[in-house]
Amino acid sequence: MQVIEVKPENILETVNSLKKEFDMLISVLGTDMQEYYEIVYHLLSTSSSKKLMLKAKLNKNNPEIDSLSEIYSAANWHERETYDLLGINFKNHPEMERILLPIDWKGHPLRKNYINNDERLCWNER
Amino acid sequence: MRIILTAIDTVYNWARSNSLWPVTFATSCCGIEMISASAASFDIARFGSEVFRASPRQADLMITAGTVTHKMAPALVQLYEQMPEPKYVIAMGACCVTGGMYENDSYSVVRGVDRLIPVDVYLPGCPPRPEALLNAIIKLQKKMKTETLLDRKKYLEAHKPRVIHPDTRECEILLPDPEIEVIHWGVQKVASN
Repeated sequence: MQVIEVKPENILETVNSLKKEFDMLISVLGTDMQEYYEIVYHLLSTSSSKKLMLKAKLNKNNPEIDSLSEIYSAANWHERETYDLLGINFKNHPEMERILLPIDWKGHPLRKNYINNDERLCWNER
Repeated sequence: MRIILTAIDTVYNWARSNSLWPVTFATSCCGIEMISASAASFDIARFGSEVFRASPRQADLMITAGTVTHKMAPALVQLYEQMPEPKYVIAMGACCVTGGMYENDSYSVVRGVDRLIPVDVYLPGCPPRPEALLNAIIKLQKKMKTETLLDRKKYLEAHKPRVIHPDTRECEILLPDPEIEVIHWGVQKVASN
């Protein structure tokens, strides 16, 4: 599988030019790499069954990237999940809300510096 | 009078302990072992529990098979409360007993189902074999045969779920309410108003 590193501000252009060949979005992943956040897209070409990986490094303080939900509708829920667990903001997303965790949850649990100190959950401690 | 009551209890206990109907409810992977126990090679029907009811109102045993998360907790408690008395619970698998491998750092898992509902038989294992589930059912049947309904009430009093807030000692399990817009979840501190 080929890997392409993209700058976050160029993601829409890149994906638009790849859309004809790679017509399916398989997954959207987020990773907390301590110094920066990394976001990974897997694309699949259904005609030649080739795969392509796009990577983008995001700023630690204000992780933001353009949403792909206009291009691939599969991106909608994947991006909501990435926002839910890692707190990465997707600009121009139609419904940027939590998808897995309860709506009034505090914090983003898959961040490395996440500490669960929600006092509503203190009954659950060992 | 006492002798008559004891005789009635014996017959009554024999009848209900040999027709334990579980509710069709599994929260994760232990459910596969539960399905396997009900299939031909292990055959839970030998012990009178083959009728997995799709409605909690017709069941009197709940096998909580698998990890219980905060989001699932209100649904689980609601199902338990919908079951008619007398009702019994088998906590199946390590996650249900103590939280299992999620015990230390997980943000989403309830540390043991006994924090939500009273449990009769704890069945450890990750996941337990179907034979172990059959053993747990036999243990539960033995227990049912030696107790009266009055004993049962005392047992439920003594094993109330340990959902207590350390400061205020007041906590409640919020059930999902369609009239409230915000989806409540799990167990929360009682709002002081």
